[in-house]
Formats: sequence, C-alpha cells, structure tokens
Amino acid sequence: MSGSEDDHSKETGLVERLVGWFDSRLGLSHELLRPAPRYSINPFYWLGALAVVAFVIQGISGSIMLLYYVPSPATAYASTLYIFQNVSYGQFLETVHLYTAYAMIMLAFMHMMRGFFVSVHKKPREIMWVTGMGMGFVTLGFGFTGYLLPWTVVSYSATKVGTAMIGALPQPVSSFINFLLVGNGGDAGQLLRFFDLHIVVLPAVLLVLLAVKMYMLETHGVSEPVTGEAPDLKKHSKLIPIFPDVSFYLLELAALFGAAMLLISVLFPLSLPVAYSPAAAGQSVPQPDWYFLWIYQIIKISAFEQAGLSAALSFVTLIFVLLTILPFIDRGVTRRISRRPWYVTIGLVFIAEVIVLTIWGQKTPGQVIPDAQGILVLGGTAIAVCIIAFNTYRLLGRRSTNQPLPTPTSSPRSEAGRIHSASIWASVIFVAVLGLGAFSIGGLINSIVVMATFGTNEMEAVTLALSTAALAVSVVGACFLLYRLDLGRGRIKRRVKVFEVGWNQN
Amino acid sequence: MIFLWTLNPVGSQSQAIFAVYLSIDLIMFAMVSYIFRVSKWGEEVRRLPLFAGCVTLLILLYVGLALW
Repeated sequence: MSGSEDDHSKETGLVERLVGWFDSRLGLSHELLRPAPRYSINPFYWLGALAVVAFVIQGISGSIMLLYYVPSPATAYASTLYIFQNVSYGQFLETVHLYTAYAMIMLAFMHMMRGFFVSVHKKPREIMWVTGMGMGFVTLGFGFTGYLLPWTVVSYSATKVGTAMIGALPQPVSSFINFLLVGNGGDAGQLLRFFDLHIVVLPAVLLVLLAVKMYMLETHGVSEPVTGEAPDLKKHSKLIPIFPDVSFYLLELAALFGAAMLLISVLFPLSLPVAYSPAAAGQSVPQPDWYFLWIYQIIKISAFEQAGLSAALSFVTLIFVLLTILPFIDRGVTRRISRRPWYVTIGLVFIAEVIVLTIWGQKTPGQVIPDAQGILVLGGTAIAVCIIAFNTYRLLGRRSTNQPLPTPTSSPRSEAGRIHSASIWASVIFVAVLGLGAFSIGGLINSIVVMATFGTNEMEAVTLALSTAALAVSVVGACFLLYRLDLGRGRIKRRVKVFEVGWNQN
Repeated sequence: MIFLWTLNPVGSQSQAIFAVYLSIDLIMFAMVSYIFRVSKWGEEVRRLPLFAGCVTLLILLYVGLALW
C-alpha cells in the first residue's frame, strides 16, 4: 500500500502536490467560487481585480508607513520626511504608495469604461454597476484624503481648492460634507478627519462594497462576450476552476502589475515638496492632482469661475449621477457595440473630453480659461470624436449589411462620382450641424449663467433666444441627416414624411 | 535575498536596486506561472510572451548591475 502511494506521489509534480495539499486542507476547489469561463482569461476581464490588487499593495505599504506617520499639522510633514530619509526603504514605500494609488484610480476608470462599452450594466447586473460606481467614488475619496496627509504646500493648496468647491455645493449637502471633512477643529481637525477617513472609514466602505459586488458576481457570473444577442454558453470553451487555475492567472497579472509599479517607482522616484506654510502657499499655484484636474479645468472656464461655480459643480455632479443610474437609462436589450452607436459615441466623447481637460489643465495652472476658448476646445473635441465615430459606424454598417448607397440608375462611373460627392456633402453638412450645436450649447450655458448671476438684460435675452433656436436647428438637422442615412439602408421603421422631402425613391 | 539584504536600505540608489531585483523576481514568477497554467490546460505555450519576458529580464539584470 505504502509502496503504491509512494509511486503515485512520484508521478505527480511538486507544484501539483503542493496545490493538492492546500486544496485538501482548505477545500478551495470545492465550490468556493464558481468556475470562470475560458473567454474570461483575458486581462480586460480582470481590470477590477487588478484595482483590488492595487488596494492590497496600498494597505501593505500604508500599514508600514503608519508606524512612523503622526497626523497633526506640526508633525505630519516631519514624520513624512523621516520616513523618506531615515526609514529602511522609506522613500521606496512612499513612491510605490503614490504610484499604486494613481494606478488604482486609472484601473478603476478603465474597468468602468470597459464595462460601459460592453454593456455590463444591463439586466441582470444593474446593481453590480451601481455598487461599482460606489467603489469608484470611494477610490477617488482615497486619493482626495490621502493627498493632504504629507502636509506639503502642494497638497494643502490642492485640498483647499477641493474643500472650497464643496462649499459651493447646495445646502445641506455642503454643510454635511464640510462637517465630515473639516468639522470645527481648523487645520488639526481637518487633518485628523482626513486621516481617519483614509485609513478606517473608506477602506471599510470599500471592503463592504467589494463583498457585495463579489456576491453578485457569484450570483450572475462573468458577463458574456459581446458576440450576439443570446450567446450560447455551451458553445464557449470549457469552464476553468477558480483554484488553482484562475488563481494562478490572477497571480500572474498581479505579479506583472507589481513589477510595473516597482519599475515606475525606480524611473520616477518621488521627492517631497516643501512643507506647508502661509508664505510658501502664497508663492505656489494651487492645482489638484491629475485625476481631479478635468473637474478643475471646467470650473476655470470664465463663465463658471466666480458666481457660476455652483452651476459648474452641479454639471459635474450630473455627469456622475447619470453614470451611476446608467442601467436605468440605457434600457435597450442589445449589448453589441456595433448596435449602440449613440452610447458608444457618448462614451468616447466623455473619455476624450476628460483626457483633453486633464492635459489642458496641466498646461494652464492657475489660468482662467476664456469662454470662447473653452467652447472651441471642448466643442472641437466632441465634434472630432463624433465624426470619427460616425464614419466608423457607416463603414461597419456598410460592411455588415453590404448595401450600397441608393442612387438613381446611371452609368457606373457617374454613379460612383455621385456617391462620392454625396458622401462628401453629407460629411460637410454633418460637421456644420455638429459645430452649430456645440456653439449653441456653449452660448446657451453662458447666457443662463450670466443672467442668473447678473440679472436679465436685453442683450442676454436675445443671445439666449438665438442659442436656443440654433440648438433646435442643429438637433433637427442631425436627426434629418441620420434619418436619411437609415432611409438609404432601409432601416426606417416609422416614416417621417417631412424628412423625406426631395427623396428619390427609385 | 541575502544579496538584497546587504544593501543600504536608506540610500535611494540601493532602494532602486532592490526594486529592480524584486521586479525581476515578479516577472520570473509570472513567466513560470504562465507556462504551468497553459501546459495544464493542454494549450500551446506561445513564444512571444516568453521571449518578451526574457528580454525584459536581461535588460533589468543589466540595469541592476549598472546601478550597483
């Protein structure tokens, strides 16, 4: 008996025996988590898991720094500097902590946008999406609260910008958040609250939300690939057990992520800015960290700069609210990217605007942005993305349906020329319509903000009326063009006669 | 680990060496794990990830020695 057991153990490798030992003691392969489908062995399915890995790294590095950090205005900077200069691998820990924080925010954003494009927010995963958005807000909260802790002139100034923006929110939201973040203790009270939020409250909230999300992931499983309306799961490849197979895959990704963080820390070592003091603060330009720079850049547009701050913050809040309730807005059944042109285009515009605003904010620290410049840059970005998306969908649509553009019969050469000419005219008109729409939206917002701030006058009323009319024209014009395109492809279900004026049916 | 233990843990150059060699360990683990996992599933081990990993390891080893 013992001889045959020895023979069997010699046949299995060391790793298999080790895995088997853990499995027999912990029961890891027995329905701990549902097996993962083979198609999910893809890094894009694991962006959220990598964000959790980043959180774990933050916890480890933060716990070590916690041994030396003292959260009071008099000692915060000194203790941070002590970690840098006197603690073994202190500078390395601080640098890894900072860049992993950045990576966590970036991974959370990529995870959200990937989910947006492949429609993971649709039935039955609506609550997963809302929970994930909550986790995203907590991640931003980590960045906001942690940034103040070193008590440098940069971090203090940036946090003051943030807390001032909170003060512009409507009551009682502003009072509640102010109580949460600042209390009545001045700088000392604020630092202690930020510290408490950063190391206790936010991690606890994140872990609770993570548990809820993991439970729902267990309930619903990994979302199917976007290959059809009703994918047959049996057609996809085998199911992979979580332990040890998928666990090894996650460890691989985590190892590569960790290596990347280490190498980035080597290439871009952190140096501590000067300590905060009123004199030093007077000489520095307050600027939030890069992940809030897009919001700050919106606020720096001159229409929003002063009395319009509430409008700007309400606008940004609206964006976050719309993202959170997305599952209840986007109720369509289809998940295919090729059949969701509007939402995909909106998503691409959002990403492009955030990137442009962030880079622009980095280039223009402390500068007020003129309204015209804001409209040109943001409107131009939106127009460019819409043109690219529009033409891509036209190309995809033509390939999938294999339908030529309808034209009257004539010689092949003149027909090709007419198609070419029609395409050019359609593109030009569409660009003009979108441009008109972008400028009219900017003019509308500007008029409303000025009238709300300084009161109604004849000039602004005329501008408001003209902007509204221009916006209406651009919306109707865009609908007209898109209707004609779909009419040409035979996709119209409900006919609108007024949009078919001049349409040649033959 | 003994080698890394001999480094000055407070100097920035030593910390950079530590980070480089730790990243070498992590990349090696990732490569071994990839081969183990893919072989277990009966799939073909692709040469490109292994080649890229080996090149990266060589570069990092050189960087580590240069820092030293």
